[in-house]
Amino acid sequence: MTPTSTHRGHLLRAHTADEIIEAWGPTREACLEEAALALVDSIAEVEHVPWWWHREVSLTGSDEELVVSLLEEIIFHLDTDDAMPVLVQVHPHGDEVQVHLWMTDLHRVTARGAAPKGVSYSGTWIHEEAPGRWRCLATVDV
Amino acid sequence: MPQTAHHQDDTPSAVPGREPPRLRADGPARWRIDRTGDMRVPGVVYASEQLLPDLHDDRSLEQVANVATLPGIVEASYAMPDVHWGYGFPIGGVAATDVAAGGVVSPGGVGFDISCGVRLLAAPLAEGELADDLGALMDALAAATPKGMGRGAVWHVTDRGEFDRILVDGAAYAVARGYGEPADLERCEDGGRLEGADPAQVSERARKRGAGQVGSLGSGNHFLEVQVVDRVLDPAVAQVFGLAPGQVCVMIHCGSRGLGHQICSDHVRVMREAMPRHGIRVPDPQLACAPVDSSEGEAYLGALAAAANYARANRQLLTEATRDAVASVTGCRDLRLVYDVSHNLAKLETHVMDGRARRLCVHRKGATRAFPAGSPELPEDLRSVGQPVLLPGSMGTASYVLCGQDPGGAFSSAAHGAGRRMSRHEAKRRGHGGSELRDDLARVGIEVRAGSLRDLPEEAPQAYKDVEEVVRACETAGLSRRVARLRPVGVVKG
Repeated sequence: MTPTSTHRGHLLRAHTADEIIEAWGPTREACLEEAALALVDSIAEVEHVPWWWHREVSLTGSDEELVVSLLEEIIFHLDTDDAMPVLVQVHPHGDEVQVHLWMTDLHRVTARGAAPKGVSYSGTWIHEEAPGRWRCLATVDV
Repeated sequence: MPQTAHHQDDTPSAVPGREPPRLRADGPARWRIDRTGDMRVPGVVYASEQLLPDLHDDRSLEQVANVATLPGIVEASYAMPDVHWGYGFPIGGVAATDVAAGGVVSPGGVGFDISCGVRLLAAPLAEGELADDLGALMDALAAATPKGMGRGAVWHVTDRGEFDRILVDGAAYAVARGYGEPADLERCEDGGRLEGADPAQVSERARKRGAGQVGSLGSGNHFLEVQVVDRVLDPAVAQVFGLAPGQVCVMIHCGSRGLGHQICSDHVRVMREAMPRHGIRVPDPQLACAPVDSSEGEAYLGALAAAANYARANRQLLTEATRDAVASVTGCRDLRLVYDVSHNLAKLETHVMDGRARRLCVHRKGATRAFPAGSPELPEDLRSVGQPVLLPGSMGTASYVLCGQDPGGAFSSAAHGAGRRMSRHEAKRRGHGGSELRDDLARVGIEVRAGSLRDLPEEAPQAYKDVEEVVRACETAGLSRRVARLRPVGVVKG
């Protein structure tokens, strides 16, 4: 499977000590959603896990800054609420994006890997590589 | 319904067509990357030939060259024998900048886990005295050590003033509140309290992340190990350190948890915005930096000291939890601190260069300070021999206690561990399952208590370089010398 073989998706790439997230989608927001889901995938198995509560947050900044801020938001909830999203929705809203995180408690999921703790700007980018085809890469410290 | 694909890809994301910098031999276990392009100084890699192939498989050499472009960098951009691919700086990188010459401080040169480090405790117990109790001891240690993802703490701090005291006074405050003995502080780097902490530079998000984790191990490569002094290689120095053959020890590896990570993220962001004002350009965004004496530099150093103090308090609290657990099983609570040293830090240090004392900002990211005998920063009893350097191996392999030596290298630095050679994905794919790995280790006399058996293979011994080779390279290169070899008998993982 290649990153362009499906309409939208994500995968985790090898990094010696950490994780590299790769995501793609038809719009910037879909690509951001997939990046968030890649991070979720690296943390735990969430398939068929229902959400219990909802968080909404507005993010602003460059496209690259949005990637970092979105992933950091998920990490923040891991550390402070013992919770993680099982579903992520990102909508454009003027100069901002509106992020909806549909959350569950950590004790309801099966952990899959070491906890993510930070997002590096090194090797992190997002761009529209062709009309209607966005792609994103992010390096996550674990 | 959108179609979603996800799988794991073990192919490193190398940049096509980009050649790693060329290395040329430059002495025993020492290689040089000559200056090219924007490099202000050469790169120097301390490694044996056996350790070099790993370096060509990742991008750490390119990162060594990138660090050499930082404003004010002096002497060389150094890599320790356990160097591996990080982001911005390599893990195992050392770089010093001259403060008076516009030298910069870079949060990426410290890393996310500010003041992540190792402490070693020595018990007045011989291995034989523990034999029948090892399983019970590991159960007690696992129960007493908050670990894994999310919150969990030895000390539930709710008062803002008290949290600020941790940020300002570190392990010294923990001891003042009854978590440990005053003697512990004598064997902590900086007496367990790094000067210059400024809680006002710590964001609310960082405080929230750190509030529920004061006294916790975390996950990833952090651990608490019960070890036995397997071999003493320098009896005179080992005696000063308080280590004897067959003695039971406990090694703790952890850092500043979510607080340190958030501080790094916050200040990288600030410096990225400030760099154009300072006329600074860097080849990698995670090398974002600002002059040490700029407002951004000073703000970061104030926050960094606060995170360092949090990390030292964290290890102090886990020390007390360890003492309680050991006492509950063996009746012995007298675990003496051998040393506590950070391996992710930037510090203002005075070093003599070209016959002149210079104030340098020394970044050590995945590198351990290794001061030689005579260093005034060392406590009196250690000053005659040099600073203990704690070098953990991987789960299942030996760890080492080394000693700083004169003249040393890389501004008195040494390696910080075995160093990863395999990604987490690859380690899981190639290795056994978690329970199989746990049983394999049990068969060779190592009891493992893991928060998540599923994640255990990520930290399997084969995921790491050969610690014996890393230690040999440290010694051959003159960075530090061996004092004692420690063999694990029990491991607590997040």
